Amino acid sequence: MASTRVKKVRLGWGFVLVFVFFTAMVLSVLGLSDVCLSKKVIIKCWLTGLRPEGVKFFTKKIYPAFEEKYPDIKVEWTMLTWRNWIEKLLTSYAAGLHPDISMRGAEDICDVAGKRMGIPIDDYLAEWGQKDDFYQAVWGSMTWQDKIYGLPTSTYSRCIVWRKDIFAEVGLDPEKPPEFWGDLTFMARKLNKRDAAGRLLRAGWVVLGKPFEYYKLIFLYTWQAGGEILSKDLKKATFNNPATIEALEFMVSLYENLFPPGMATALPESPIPHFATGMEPLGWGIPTRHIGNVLKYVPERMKDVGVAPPLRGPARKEGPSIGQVFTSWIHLSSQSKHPDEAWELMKFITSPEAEVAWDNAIRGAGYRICRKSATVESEFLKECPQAMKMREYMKYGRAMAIFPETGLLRKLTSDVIEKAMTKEWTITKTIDYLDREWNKILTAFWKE
Amino acid sequence: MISKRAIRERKKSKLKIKRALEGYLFASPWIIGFIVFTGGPIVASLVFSFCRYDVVTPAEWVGISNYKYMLTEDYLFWKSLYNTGYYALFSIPLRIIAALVIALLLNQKLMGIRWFRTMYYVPAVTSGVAVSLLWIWLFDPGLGLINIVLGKIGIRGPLWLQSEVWSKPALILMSLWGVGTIWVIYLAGLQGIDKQLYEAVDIDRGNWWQKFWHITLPMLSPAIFFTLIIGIIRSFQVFTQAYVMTQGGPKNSTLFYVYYLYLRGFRMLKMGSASSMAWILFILILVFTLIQFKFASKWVYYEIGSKSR
Repeated sequence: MASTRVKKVRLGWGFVLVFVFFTAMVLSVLGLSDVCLSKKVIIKCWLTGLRPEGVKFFTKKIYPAFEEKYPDIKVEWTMLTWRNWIEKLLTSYAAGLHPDISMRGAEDICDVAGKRMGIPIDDYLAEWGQKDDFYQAVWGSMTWQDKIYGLPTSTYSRCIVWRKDIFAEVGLDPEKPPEFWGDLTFMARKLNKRDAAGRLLRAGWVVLGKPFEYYKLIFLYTWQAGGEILSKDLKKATFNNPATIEALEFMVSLYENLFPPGMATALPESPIPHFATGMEPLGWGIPTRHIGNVLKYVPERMKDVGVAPPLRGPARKEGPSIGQVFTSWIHLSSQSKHPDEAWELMKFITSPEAEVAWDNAIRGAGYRICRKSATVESEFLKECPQAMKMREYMKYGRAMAIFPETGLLRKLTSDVIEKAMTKEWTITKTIDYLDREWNKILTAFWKE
Repeated sequence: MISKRAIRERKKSKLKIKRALEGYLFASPWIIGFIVFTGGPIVASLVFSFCRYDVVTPAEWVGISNYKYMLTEDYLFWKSLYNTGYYALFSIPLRIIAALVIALLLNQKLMGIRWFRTMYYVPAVTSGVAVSLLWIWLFDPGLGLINIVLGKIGIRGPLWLQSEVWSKPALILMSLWGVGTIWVIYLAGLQGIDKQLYEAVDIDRGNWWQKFWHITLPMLSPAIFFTLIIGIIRSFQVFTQAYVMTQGGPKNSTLFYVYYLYLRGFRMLKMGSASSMAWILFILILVFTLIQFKFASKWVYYEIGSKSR
């Protein structure tokens, strides 16, 4: 048996070890180890949703180039996915550890600005003087109460993309994409293909089978029909207007045509994305899905990919197309201790040279160029006329609607529209409900 | 004057205190960890359940508003509770029955039985996300293996995860694949049953059913009771399948309680009402567990000092 003295010594060492262990844990959590070891300013940058090509581009090219240009600044980067980014950003903010720069999606401005997670950058932008080089439509996603909160990094406008070979296969004119709503209904019905058991083998307009898209569609089709849902100050919603009613009727009718009751609403899983296989021959122009995947999996089919402006709305409508613009953007955290240095990194990431290099590096594997000057310079866009057309159609784009209580209203709107699409609710009941609930929630939000 | 006995007693109590302190000191990492990472958040969530809290701005006390809203105004709360109750009602007994059957089969003295036991246990240790991705493929209405097999025997398979009616049964079916943790407990229980009891039945010329009903089940009832309690707790916390496979659809038919709690907290930034949902869930599970314990004496047989069937 150990003597009392030995036991005391052991106890003492045990206490020391426990103390050292805890101290090390606390220091690493607080990041003091970095501060102690380095005299550089550390900028934390969290980007989201980049594909492997984009991750490689940033980690191997952008960040090292920035650190070379600014030797006193070190970039600590983290790559998130669109699956887990919101939890990480929220919890980091709550802990006081929000990254200096983080990437946001097209509808997040209310959280960033309304809850003061970000700071306006109007002064920085004015000094920089490059705002006008960006496509006008991108700014809508990062503007809140006339203040701009971020810089755009990737954008696209949902134009029409189609497979000419599949069009020819079903007897449609391969050079004539849909222009009005009626064209879409007709063509989508012809393209839709089911087997004897009702399983979907080819989807004429697959987005209609995705309920989480419905809240986006009701806004888009309302605009195309010449109407508006939200007031400019975002304090009032009016679903009960002729354009929105017409939009909902169109969605219900299209759904009825494409997805009869009891029939599958989604395509089978496929290792090769559906547009590349021809199972989804008509859709919104999402660059990754429609250009990047074809280039990657079936490059010989690029000649069959057509790109057209967004729909113009109901046939009676005279006027240009309207498409929705979705933009990812980066913002400065309100918790950043080095906003000036972080701003330098933001400018670097969104510079024309970086935009061109990024576009050439990923070659369609992601949404892209936000600057007009970069559009002209990109080698990839010069080689890929379809991708270049998508850039041109940014002129028809309008930023996706932003509104407070985004998560709540998104879910509520999509749920209720799904009830209308499946005829569980009438159109009148749906519109009345949306009017009532939206205004209840908006009123409560602005009151707080 | 202090007696020698008093001095000895004082020395003993000082030693006791010292030993206790030493014990607490060495247990302190765990205690601190528990307070910081478990106990503290539990208390915090109770406080937040009475607040309007969106994670990024300070919490504001609102009393029982969150509870009132969830219970009286939020249609998705009751929908999620119904979905979870449905899932629990069917998956728990089916999992117990499936695990019991598997345990009985794996309790045979056959060549290669250990290999079978390994194979049947592997799904239980596979990542939930990986399992979910696998079953998305299996449930595909067109190309999924399940519908292909059903088609071969002349049955037109349902739409499974694309159907409001079949989505929950699909997930219940999927849950049967991971009963490894249950049957392993039953197997241990089966191997602990005294063989003499079965010999007694043989002597009385009983059949296999009588052995099962009068010997196996009663002797296994403590294990079944344990897995029933754990099953209730786990079923009410079903999340991964909704998160990975269905996102609550179609038409909120797989919007389970904890998944909705997550949506409220992290997507709608209503952490206050999400916390209130968590405490409502805690009370519900506690009530069900207490009910089970109350009725346990009627059917659970403990060899030592309990009523038998």
